[in-house]
Amino acid sequence: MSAIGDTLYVMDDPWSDENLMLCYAAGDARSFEVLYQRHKGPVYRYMLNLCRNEAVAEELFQEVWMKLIKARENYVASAKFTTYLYKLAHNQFIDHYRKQNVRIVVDQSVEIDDVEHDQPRGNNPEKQVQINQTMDQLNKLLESLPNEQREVFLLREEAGMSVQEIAETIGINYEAAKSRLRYAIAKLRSGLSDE
Amino acid sequence: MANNGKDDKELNDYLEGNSDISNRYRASSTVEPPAHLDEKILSAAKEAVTDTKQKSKVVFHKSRWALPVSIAAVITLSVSLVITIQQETGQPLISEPESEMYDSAPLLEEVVMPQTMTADDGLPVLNETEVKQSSDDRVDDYAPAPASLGTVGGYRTENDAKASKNEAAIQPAKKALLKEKARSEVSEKRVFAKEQLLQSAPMEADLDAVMELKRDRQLTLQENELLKIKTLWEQGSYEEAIKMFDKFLEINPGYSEEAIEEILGAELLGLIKAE
Repeated sequence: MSAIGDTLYVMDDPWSDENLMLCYAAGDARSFEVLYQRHKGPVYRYMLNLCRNEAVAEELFQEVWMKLIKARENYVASAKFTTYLYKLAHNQFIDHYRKQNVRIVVDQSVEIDDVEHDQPRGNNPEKQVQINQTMDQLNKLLESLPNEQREVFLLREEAGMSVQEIAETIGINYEAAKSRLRYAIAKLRSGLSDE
Repeated sequence: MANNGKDDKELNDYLEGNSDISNRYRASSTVEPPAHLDEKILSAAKEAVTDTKQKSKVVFHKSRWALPVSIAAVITLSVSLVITIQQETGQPLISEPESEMYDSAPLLEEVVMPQTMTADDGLPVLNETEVKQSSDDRVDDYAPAPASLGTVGGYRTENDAKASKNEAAIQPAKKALLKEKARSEVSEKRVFAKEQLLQSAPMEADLDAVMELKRDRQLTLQENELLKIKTLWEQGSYEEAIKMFDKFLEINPGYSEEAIEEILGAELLGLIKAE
């Protein structure tokens, strides 16, 4: 989307992410609250699935929002807000592991199921078991994906980004983003069908 | 190739939202951040906005006095700089135009000091040679260029000849005017010098000179009176002339008859006396 298009979008919808962010930059704390409620879950899950470590995910999640708060006065609605937000998250993730000077390795000891799930649980025990099994399968398959492929999948699922937006967010070209997503989908599909 | 084609189709289906992978993932991904993080982040966001408002208020207060103070500082510095430079150089930074020199030069050119004042008077006398010298100096400024620097190739137009003719025609009137001006200047200077002497004379100066000056002044007044009487008589105002003459004699009883006769003439004096 072009800058002009974004600007028109901002003007059309007062409750758009971009407008809310601009309102917050102008001093309206309530706008930030709305924005936070809208994006906190997806950003948190993106971090958690990327890090596979709850403590690190929480720390990075907090850092992302703090950076957004600090950068509010410099924010310009020249791009989609989600692109801006997930770029912050992506950079935070990369910076963290660079500082730690460790290779990004999936921590197998942390079980994603340990994290509290808020979804309504069905009363049917058989169905619940089936759901849990599917979640386990998908989580295991996600864990097995390379970080690059997992990240593009998470950006698609959590932020609802197009391939172009994914490419812009993580700073790669369109073809590379598409290729990573294609491999990720193929592996997940293959894994689920094998199970 | 076949695999690539299959993967592309799967990707397209997935991007169009027709994939069960998305449905399964969304069903499972409902994790939310802990409440304490929510509180921390939201309170930080509120604090940041409040701090910004307070900072902007402080900046506003600063800016209210910052501008006048900075203007005052600039003016003070400028004035002190000008004064310092003047003190160091001893000359004003802004000098007056030198037009006065050009105005006075032609007057001095024609000044010839009349010899009405002598050294015997004990007054400051303007030296004729000095005046001439100064006028010569000024005249030099206006003197024509030497022949060696003259007109290029001896070229002279008809206009030049006409101009010189006009100049010659104007010259007598100009000279008369200049003489008149010079005379008035000299008389002013003389009166000024005499007055200064009168002020300082009683203390130290020669008393004889002062008395003589006073006498001169009285003579001048009496002479004027007599001249008025003569004028009135000539105009036919005989009664008025006689009255004035009687009054003159009352005021100046010791005034010599010779002096009166010198001004009025023997004939007129006789007639007035007869009346």
